[in-house]
Amino acid sequence: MEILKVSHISKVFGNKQPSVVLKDISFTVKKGEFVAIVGPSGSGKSTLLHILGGLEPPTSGSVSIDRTSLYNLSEDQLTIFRRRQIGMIYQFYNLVPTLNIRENILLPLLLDNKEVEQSYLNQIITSLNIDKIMEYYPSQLSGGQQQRVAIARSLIHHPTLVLADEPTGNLDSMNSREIVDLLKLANKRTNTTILLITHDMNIAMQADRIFEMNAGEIKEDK
Amino acid sequence: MNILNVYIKKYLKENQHRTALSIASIALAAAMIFSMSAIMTSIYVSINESLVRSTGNYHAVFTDVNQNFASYLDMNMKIEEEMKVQHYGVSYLSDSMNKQKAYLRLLGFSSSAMQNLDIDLVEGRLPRNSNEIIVSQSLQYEGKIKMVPGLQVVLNLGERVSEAGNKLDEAAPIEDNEQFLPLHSGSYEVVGVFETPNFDYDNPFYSVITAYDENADLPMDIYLLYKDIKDTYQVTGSLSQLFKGEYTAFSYNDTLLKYNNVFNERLISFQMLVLIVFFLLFFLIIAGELIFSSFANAYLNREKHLAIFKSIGATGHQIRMMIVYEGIVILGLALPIGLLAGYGFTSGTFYVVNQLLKRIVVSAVQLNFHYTWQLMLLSGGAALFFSFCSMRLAAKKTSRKSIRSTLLSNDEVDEERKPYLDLQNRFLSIDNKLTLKHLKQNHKPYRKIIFLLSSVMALFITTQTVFDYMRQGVFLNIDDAGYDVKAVIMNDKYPTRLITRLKLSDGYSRMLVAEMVNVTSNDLSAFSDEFKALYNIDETVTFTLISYSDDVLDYYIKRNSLARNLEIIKNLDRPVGILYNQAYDADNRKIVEIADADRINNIYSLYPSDVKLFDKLEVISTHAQLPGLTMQDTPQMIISDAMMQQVIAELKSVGSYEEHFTVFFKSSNPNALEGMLNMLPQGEGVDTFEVINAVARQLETKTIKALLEIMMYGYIILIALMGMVAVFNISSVNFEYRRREFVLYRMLGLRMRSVRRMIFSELIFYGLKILMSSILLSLIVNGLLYTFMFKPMGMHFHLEKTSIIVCCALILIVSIMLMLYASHKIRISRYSEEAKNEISLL
Repeated sequence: MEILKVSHISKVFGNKQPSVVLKDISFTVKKGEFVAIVGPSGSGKSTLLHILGGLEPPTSGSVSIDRTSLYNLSEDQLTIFRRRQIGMIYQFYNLVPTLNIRENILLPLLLDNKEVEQSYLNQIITSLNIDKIMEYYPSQLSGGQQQRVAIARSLIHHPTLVLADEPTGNLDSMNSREIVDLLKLANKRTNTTILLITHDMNIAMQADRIFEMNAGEIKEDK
Repeated sequence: MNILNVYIKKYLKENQHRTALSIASIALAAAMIFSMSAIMTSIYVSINESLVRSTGNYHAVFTDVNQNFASYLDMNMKIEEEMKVQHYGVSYLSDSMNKQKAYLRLLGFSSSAMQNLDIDLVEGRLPRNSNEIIVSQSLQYEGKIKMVPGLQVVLNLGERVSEAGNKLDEAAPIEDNEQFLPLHSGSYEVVGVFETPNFDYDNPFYSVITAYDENADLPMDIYLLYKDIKDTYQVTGSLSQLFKGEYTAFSYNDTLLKYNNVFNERLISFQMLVLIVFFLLFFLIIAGELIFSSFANAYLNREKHLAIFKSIGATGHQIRMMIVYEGIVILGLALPIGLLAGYGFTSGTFYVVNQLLKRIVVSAVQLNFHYTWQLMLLSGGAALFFSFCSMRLAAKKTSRKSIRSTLLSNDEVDEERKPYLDLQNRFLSIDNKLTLKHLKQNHKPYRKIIFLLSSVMALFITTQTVFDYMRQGVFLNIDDAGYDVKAVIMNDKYPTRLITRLKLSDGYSRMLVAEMVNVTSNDLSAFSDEFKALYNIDETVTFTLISYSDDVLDYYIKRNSLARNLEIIKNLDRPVGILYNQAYDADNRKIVEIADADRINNIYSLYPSDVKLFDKLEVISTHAQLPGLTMQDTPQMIISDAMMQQVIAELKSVGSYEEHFTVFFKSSNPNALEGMLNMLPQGEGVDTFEVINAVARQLETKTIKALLEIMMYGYIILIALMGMVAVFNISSVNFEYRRREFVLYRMLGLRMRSVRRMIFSELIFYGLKILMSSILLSLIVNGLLYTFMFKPMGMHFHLEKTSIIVCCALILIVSIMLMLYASHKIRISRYSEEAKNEISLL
C-alpha cells in the first residue's frame, strides 16, 4: 500500500538569484519500507526531507502521506498531522535542553494531550537502552545516547512515517551501526515506514530501497 | 500539566539571572508609571489647592449686596457655599512706618469665609464674636505696629475722604491731602495673628478681621462657591441680570476658573496639562519599550527550542499560550513588586519635597497621594497592556520564523550596508575585520538601544540646558550682592538720626549706604537749561539718579572682577548712564541684554524720549549687582556724591521727589540682625523703613532650586535607570546569543585581549551613534523650547556643555561595563560544552 506519494516536487530558493534545489521529483513509498536517500552534499536531500515532513512547502508539486495531501492543509492542521503521523530525527538531535529525557521522548504525546502507553514506552526505551537515563538532561548524555532519545521521540506516537536526516552524521562508526540497527528493528517490529538520508553507502545498503540524489534530481538505484 | 508550561517553569528556574532581569525590568516599568502619574497628579491637584489658598476658595463675588439678594442667594440650589464679608470701615494708622499703608481695614467674616478666604493663623485663635479681632502679620513686620494677642484696642472707624471732600474707596491709593473721617469707634480684643493675606497686597491698608455680626447693618460682600464650577459663568450672569441694582459689582475668581478650564481662555491649566502629558507620555514610551524589550529578549535565545516544538507538532496556538503563560508568571511577580515599589518611591519623594516646601513657607501646600487606587489600577493596566502587546509580538515573530532554517541554524543574517563598514583593507588585523563583520550583522538589537539611550541623554541635556536658562533669568546669583541684610529707607531727606542709630547698633561687621533719587518730569525745573539741553532732558523723560560713596564702589570693585569698569564712576564730573546686565545698542537705539560679556539679545525698546536721553549719555554696563540697580527699560544715571547733593538741594526748592537710601549690612547672624532692626522704635522720622534678610531669601531661592532639581533630576534618574536596565537587558542577550561565536574564536586562537577589543570597538561605535543621535534630538527639543519659552525672555540658544561631557562619560562607562560583562561570560565558557551541542543552556 502506498503510504507516501511525491508528485513533481520542485523547490527554488531566493528571489533575486533563484537557486533550484529540487527539480521535478516524483516517487512513491509503500508502507513498511525502509528507504535510504543518498547523494553528495548540496544535492537537495535535506530539503526534500523537510518538504516531506511538512516543514518547508515546495515551490510546486504535492506530497501525500496516507492519502492526505500535506500542503492542502492549513498550518494548524499540518502541525497536528506532523505531531501524529510523522516522526523526525535530526543530525544534531534537537532535544529540548530544559526538559529531561522522559519529557523529551513523550513530547509528541503531551502536545497532543494523549495518554502515555506505558508498556510501549518501556518497550522503546529498553530496546534503545536508555531506560536508566530517563531523569537525566540532554547535556548530561553522549551523542549516541542523545540520538537514541531522538529516535524514541520519533517513535512514541506510532507515526506513519519516520524521516531521519543523517542520524549518524554526528556519531562514530560503532554508534552509527547501532543507530541504524535500531531503526531497522523499529521498522521491522512496528512496520513503520522509514526514510533515511545518508551520504554513507554502507548504511544505505541496509535499506530496502535506495534513491540517489544529484543536483536536485532523484533516481532509484535498482 | 501542559508540557509547554512545564518547559516554561523549568526554563525560568534554570535561568534565574535572566528571569530576575525580566521581572526587574517590568517591575521597574510598572513602578515608574505609577510613580510618575501619582507625582504628576499630586502636582496638578496641589497647584489647584495652592491657587485656592492664595486666591480664596470661591468662584464669584458680589459686592455690597442688599438683604433681598442675600436672602435669595441663601436659597439658591446651585450654590455650594456662601462666604459673607462685612465692611466695618477703615481706621487711620498715624504710627505706621509704611506711609503707603496708612490704614487698618476691619472686616467681619462668616465662619465659611474664615475657612475659604485665605486666612492662615500663625498665632492665637479665630474670633468668636464681633468684639474679638485677628490682625495681619504685616502690621508688625511692615507697619511696625505691635498688636499681640491679649491686647485691648480701640479702633476709630470711618471713611477716607479726598481733599475735595469726596468719599474714597477703601482700596484706592493714598492721595495727597486726603483725610480720615471717623464715624464710630469700637473696643476690641486681639485674639490672634494671621499670615498676610493676598487681598492686602497693593492696598493701602492692613486687614483686621472680626466675626460676622448678623445684627449689624453693614455693607456686605458675598463670595460664592458653586456646586459645579462650570455653572459659574452662566449662573453668575443670570443672577447679575435678575438682581440688577441690588449689588454694586460682581467679579470672578479668574485664576481659579481659568485653571479649571471654565473660560475659553485656557491659560495655566492647559499649559500645565500639556507639560504633564508630555512628561508622562515620554515616560510611558520608555516604560513600554522596557517591557517590549524584556519580552522580545526572552525569546531571542530560544528560537531553536520553539522550532523544535513546532517541528514536533506544537501548533501556533499552543506556542502563543506558552508565551502568555510565561508572561503571566513573570507579571504575577513583577506587577505587585513594581506597584509596591512605586508606592514606596513616591511616598519617599513626597516626604522629601514636603520637607523642602515647609522650609519656604510654613503653610505651603503639601504633595499627597490622590486617586491612589485608580492610579494603581491604571498603571497596572498600562503595564499589562504593554506586556500583552509584547507577548503578541513575540508570538507573531516566532510563528513567522521558518522551522527548517532555525533548526539548521543557517546564518540568515541581514547585513547593514553602510559605505564606512565596507572596508576591505588587507592591512586590517583579524580582530578589526571581525569587528566590522559584527557591526554589519548585529545592528538590529542595537536599534532599540540607540533609541532608548538617545532619548535618555537628550532628556538629560535638555533638562540641564533648561536649568541653565533658569539660572540666568530667574535664579539670580545673589551671592554676588555681598550683603546679608539690607534696610530700605524712603524719606524726603537724609535720615541722619536713623543712620546714626544704625551705625551705633550691634550685630554687624560692615555697613554701606547707597543713595538713589527718582526724578520725574515734575522736578525738571530744578535743572539748568544748559544741563537739560546737554542731556536731551524734557518733560517727557523719567529717569533715576544714583550715587554711591567711594567705599561702596571699592567694595564691589574688589569683590567682582566684572565690576572693574566701575572705577570710572568715582570722581565723576558728569552723569553717566549705567545698565545692569544690559547694554545700549546705539545703532538700533535699544537697550539690549547681555547674558554674559560676549552675547547680546534684544529685549527692550526704549520710549523715544528715553532714546533721546541715552543718545547723549555715555553709558556703561556692569554685571555687578550694585544696590538699586535693576534690569529696566528707563534710564538710570549715575553721578558723583557731590553732584547728588547739588541735585537734591535744587530739587528741594522746586517740588517733590523720591529718595531711597539703602543700607547694607554684613553680619555673622543675619536673623538676629534682622530681628533687631525690626524692633527699632518708631518715629525715627522716616517715611518708610523696610528690612530684608537676603540670607533667608537666598535660602528660599536655594530651596526652590533644590525642589526643582529634585523633581527634574529625579525624573531623569528614573528614566536613565529604566534606560540602563533595558540596555543591559538587550545587550546581555545580544552577547549571549553570540557567545558561542566568540568562544569559537577563542578556540581557534584569538586572544582574550583581542576579544575585549572587538567588543569594546563595537560598543564605542554604537556609543558614538547614540551620542550623535542624542545631540541631534536635544537640538530639536531645545530649539522648540527656546523658540516658545526662552527666546521671548531674551535668552541665548545653547546646549549645556557639561551635560554633553557627562553623556560621553556615561557611554564610556556603560561600554566598559558591558565589555567586562561579555568578556567575563566568554572567558568562563567551557570549550567542550560549546563544541558539543548546537543548542546551549544559557
